[in-house]
Amino acid sequence: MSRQRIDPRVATGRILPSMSGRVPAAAACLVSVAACTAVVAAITPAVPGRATGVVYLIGVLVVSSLFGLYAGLATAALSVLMLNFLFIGPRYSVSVGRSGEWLSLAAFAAAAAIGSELAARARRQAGEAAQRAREAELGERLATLVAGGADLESALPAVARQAARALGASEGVIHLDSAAPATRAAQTLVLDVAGVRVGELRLIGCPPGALADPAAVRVGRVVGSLILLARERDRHVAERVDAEAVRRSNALKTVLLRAVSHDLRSPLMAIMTAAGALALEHPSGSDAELVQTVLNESERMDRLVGDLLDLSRMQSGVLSPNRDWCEPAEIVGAAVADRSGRPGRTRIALEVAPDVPLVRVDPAQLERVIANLVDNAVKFSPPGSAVEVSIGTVVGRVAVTVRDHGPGIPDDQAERVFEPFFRLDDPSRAPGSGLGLAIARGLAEANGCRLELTAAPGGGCAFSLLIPISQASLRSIS
Amino acid sequence: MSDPARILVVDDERPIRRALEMTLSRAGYRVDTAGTAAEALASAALQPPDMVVLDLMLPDGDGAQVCRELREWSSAPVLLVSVVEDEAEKVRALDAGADDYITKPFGVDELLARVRALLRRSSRDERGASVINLGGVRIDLPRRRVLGADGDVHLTPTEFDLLKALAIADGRVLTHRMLLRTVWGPGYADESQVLRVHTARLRDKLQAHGLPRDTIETVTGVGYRLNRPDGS
Repeated sequence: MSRQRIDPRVATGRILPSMSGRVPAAAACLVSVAACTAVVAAITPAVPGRATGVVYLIGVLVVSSLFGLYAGLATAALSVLMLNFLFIGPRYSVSVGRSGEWLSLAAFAAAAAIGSELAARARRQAGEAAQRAREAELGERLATLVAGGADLESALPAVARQAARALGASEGVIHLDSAAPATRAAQTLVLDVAGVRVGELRLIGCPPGALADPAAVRVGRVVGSLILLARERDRHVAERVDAEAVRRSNALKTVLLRAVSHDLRSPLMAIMTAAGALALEHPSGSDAELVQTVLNESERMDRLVGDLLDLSRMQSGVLSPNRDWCEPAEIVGAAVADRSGRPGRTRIALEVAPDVPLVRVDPAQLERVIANLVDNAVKFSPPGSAVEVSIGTVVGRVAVTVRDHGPGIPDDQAERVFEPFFRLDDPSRAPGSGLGLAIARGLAEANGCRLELTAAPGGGCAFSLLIPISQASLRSIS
Repeated sequence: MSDPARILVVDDERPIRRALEMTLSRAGYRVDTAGTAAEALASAALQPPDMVVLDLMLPDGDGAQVCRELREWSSAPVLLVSVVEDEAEKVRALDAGADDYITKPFGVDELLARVRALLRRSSRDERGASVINLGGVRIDLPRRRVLGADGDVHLTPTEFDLLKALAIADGRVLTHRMLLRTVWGPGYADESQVLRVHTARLRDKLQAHGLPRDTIETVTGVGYRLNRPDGS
């Protein structure tokens, strides 16, 4: 602090009443009184002693408007003494002779005091107005910097410089979130907004006391708010860029997978149609068997291609459900309808609880889930047993349960059945790609549902699909 | 049957086109083929087909666009051929006037069944028909009544309009948007929730009068279709 020298150029830009040093004020006081005395001495023969008080009054006003109230009052007191000592009789004595002299001396003292107070107030107000104007200008410049599109990082030095100037300092640096070790020096202004510390402004060449002023707090708030604002904006811009990148990459994956799907399926389609045309001719004997083999194996190949594509979609995160309001019984009904009713097939029993609410899912994807579960159950069902499908509600969810009476799944493998290509190591098991349940779970999760394997009382296994019930789900609309 | 029906097959893959052409020829139809949207429209204008089998993905335009242009001057039924991934495209083409769709790859039996159903329907002239028979339940359009074997099926006006829309479409797939627009009005095209609730109720009521539950068939992710028993 002792190093602090007051540079008058900087001083004009400061916040506090500017000429606050005691030494200059005292000097001004003495100089003013001396000058007034000289003037009065010069004019005394012509002007009556009593009226010469006006000259001292001018001196008091000048000092108080430049150096504040206390300097003004000191000047007034000194002036009263001088006036009394030199010009009011008995001269060269502090005593006052006549009562009239007392009166004029008292009037002078009062006028000087009031005058000092008024002048000091005017000076203070002018100072505050100038400070407010500087703050407004600071706010405007900072806002222009931030709104102008510059990102926070590159705008920060300019912001610090502007803020330092407004506080009367020669230079300033902003440290965000106090990343640099905080120096507990007096020249650090904490930037906070509503109690949240944003960072700090370190100042070089800051006048003493400047940071204690309410104006400094205001500057701190303005700079802090702008930093928060700029940071928020930077975050939004970054998020937008990220979202756009994800969207493009997903769009590309979707197009690629679609092209692959088309390329793989077109030959299959031609094979199946050609074989189908041959089958129309009612071939006999081994020809019929050969044609049927082509047809069956093409269908199997197609299912496999479909499963692999779905798996790729799941793993690339581009399942993108097309959600709509759906009736659970309708989805399950559609999945079951394709798989029952034909002779030689496992019987599928469907049970629907009353008043199951609508759910918001991708109907085609959920139908695949149910279809895969039913296919799986049918595959493991012993002859003569039925697959039981039930729809009901449990807390906050619609539950679709598919249950078979097959050999069941050992507890320690319960979670592994959902892994792609997982097959129970049991040679007697029915063949399959091992993808059905993995796809079912992937599709279920993409739609916000859960798929669980639960123990079925009396053997076999039961898969439960739990579909969340939306708040907005309405059962009755008139 | 006097003349065999003429079917236009549109597919950009030559092997598939040939296989479909031969299959349909063997089944007794006359077949024209086209490999692009432009060829399809030109061929249809030159030799008006009784039916079109249209691949959804064409090199020079999508199926929906062909449907729309075709519908400006032809009422021949359109059977879309699509792959599973084309859900949204499929719905657009159905909205643009296609009648039904079949998912690639499909069996020949399935294809022939769809072709027969569409041709039968388009030859059945029911304009002006006032009573539609669903087998066990009859819809009396002018009187707005539905009569079951054991008395009236009591439907709300909305349920009746829904049933009527499905019945008039006569086995065609109606998309959710189409049904919502027809029954509730253009402002309701996205209110699928309303449609689900009313369809469920309508099904319950028809089932109570002895109709199978899949009389109103769910075409998952697309819409609904009303299945009439054969021969009615």
